[in-house]
Amino acid sequence: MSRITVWGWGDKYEAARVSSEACVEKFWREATRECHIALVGKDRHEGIIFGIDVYTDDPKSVGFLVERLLNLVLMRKNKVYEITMEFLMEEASYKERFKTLEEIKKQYETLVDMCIEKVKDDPRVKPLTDGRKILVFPDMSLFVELEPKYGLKMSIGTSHFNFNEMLRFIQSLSEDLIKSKLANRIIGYKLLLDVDRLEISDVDVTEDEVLVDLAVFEPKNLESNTYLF
Amino acid sequence: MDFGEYKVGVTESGGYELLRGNNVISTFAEARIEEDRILFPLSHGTLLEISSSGIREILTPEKAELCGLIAAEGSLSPYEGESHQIFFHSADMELIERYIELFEKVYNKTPHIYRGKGEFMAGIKNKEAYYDLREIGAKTGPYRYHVPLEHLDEDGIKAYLRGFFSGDGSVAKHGTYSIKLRISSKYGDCLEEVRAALVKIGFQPSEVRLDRTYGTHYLEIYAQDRISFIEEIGSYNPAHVEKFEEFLKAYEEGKLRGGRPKREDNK
Repeated sequence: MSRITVWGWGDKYEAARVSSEACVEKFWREATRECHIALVGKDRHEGIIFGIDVYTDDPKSVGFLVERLLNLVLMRKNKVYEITMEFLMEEASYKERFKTLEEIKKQYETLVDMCIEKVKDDPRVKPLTDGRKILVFPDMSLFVELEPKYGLKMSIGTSHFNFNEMLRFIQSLSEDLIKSKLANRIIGYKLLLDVDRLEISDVDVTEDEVLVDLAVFEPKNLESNTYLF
Repeated sequence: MDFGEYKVGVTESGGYELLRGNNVISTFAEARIEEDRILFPLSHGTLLEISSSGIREILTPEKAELCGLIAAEGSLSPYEGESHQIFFHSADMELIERYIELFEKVYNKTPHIYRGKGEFMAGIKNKEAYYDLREIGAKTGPYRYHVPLEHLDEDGIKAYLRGFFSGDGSVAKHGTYSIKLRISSKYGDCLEEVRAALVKIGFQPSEVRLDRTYGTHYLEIYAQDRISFIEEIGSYNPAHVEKFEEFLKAYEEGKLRGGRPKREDNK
């Protein structure tokens, strides 16, 4: 089944709960196993794109979860792009293996070293080094898996180029989810950074640093949203 | 004054008349005469521009900035229907105040301020402004907008981009002293129009990129255009202003060599 967008919070935030409960009423069938609630937004400070994904097998929890997630995200002064719901006929909340914080930091360091190795001799970078340190800023996605208080599976994801800012953002949002009793604890982390597909996007120089931006150059897809979590 | 098929004459009462051939099309009490064009004020922040390229309606910089703000953080509610409401959302009161100031200048009406969850809203119900903004394409649907390039001169483009960046731009930390400027949108085809506006006034931004994880889109202002962007376009967003000031201070202190810092240096 395709995703359904929950509309109608605008200036009336409780409308999201009413809309999502109406969707449950209409689309939750006997064969429905789970509902996937997905919120996509943007942190207005650093421009971090983020998502919160929750899977639940309880139709009564959907409206409550939508309202609480929206409330929490808006109170943090973020922009919300969309909330969608998907009614699934098979189990999607499978358990993945997530890494510890230490493991994920180590993984990031290793990948950064690989990025530096990839760009250090590039003619756009090498002439600028001259004793300066190379810092790389690769486009990447960082996720945190939480143990949900309601539902089967909960995660927060971010998409940006600054690992430390992404980590700070997901940890802070996780704390808020735990404080507001939507989650119990952090289970683990996952990092997606594909060194092979990254290409130099821009190079910037300061007195002691060469800043190399790395991006994945995708074929254009301007018409639709393709949510690929 | 001759502008191709159009001529502008001065009337006995000191006003202006616009002629095509020998026919008077319209008369105006005021005009702004520039080297290569003449501008006549119309209603609601619109000007009639006559130049050798022809005749067109353009937006004043104030109205262009207002449209940029609405494109980023506003809504025309409903997109289909009769309620004629115009909303602008922001977490920053400074932006709300700027929006109201522009709205008053353009439409001579004052939106009301509401406090939402984690943000403020300025809202007004006004049929005339609603249809005017709808016609421009300031907001064409939820998160969708049209950049009215056909109605913007260079100052108008800069003002539009200032409004848009204030709402949907981000200034992120980049290394110890530097910053990175990004503009993001849910829809890539809308962001392509923002990119076209930047290109039209001489910037060379990145292509519009898809964020595969969440299906949103972004473009970047490259390091070579960053100072020009800050000086020529800028932002009213207080968080942006603070980071711009820190960045320019570091630049003045020589901490940023910035390969090719200003567009003019590359010419």
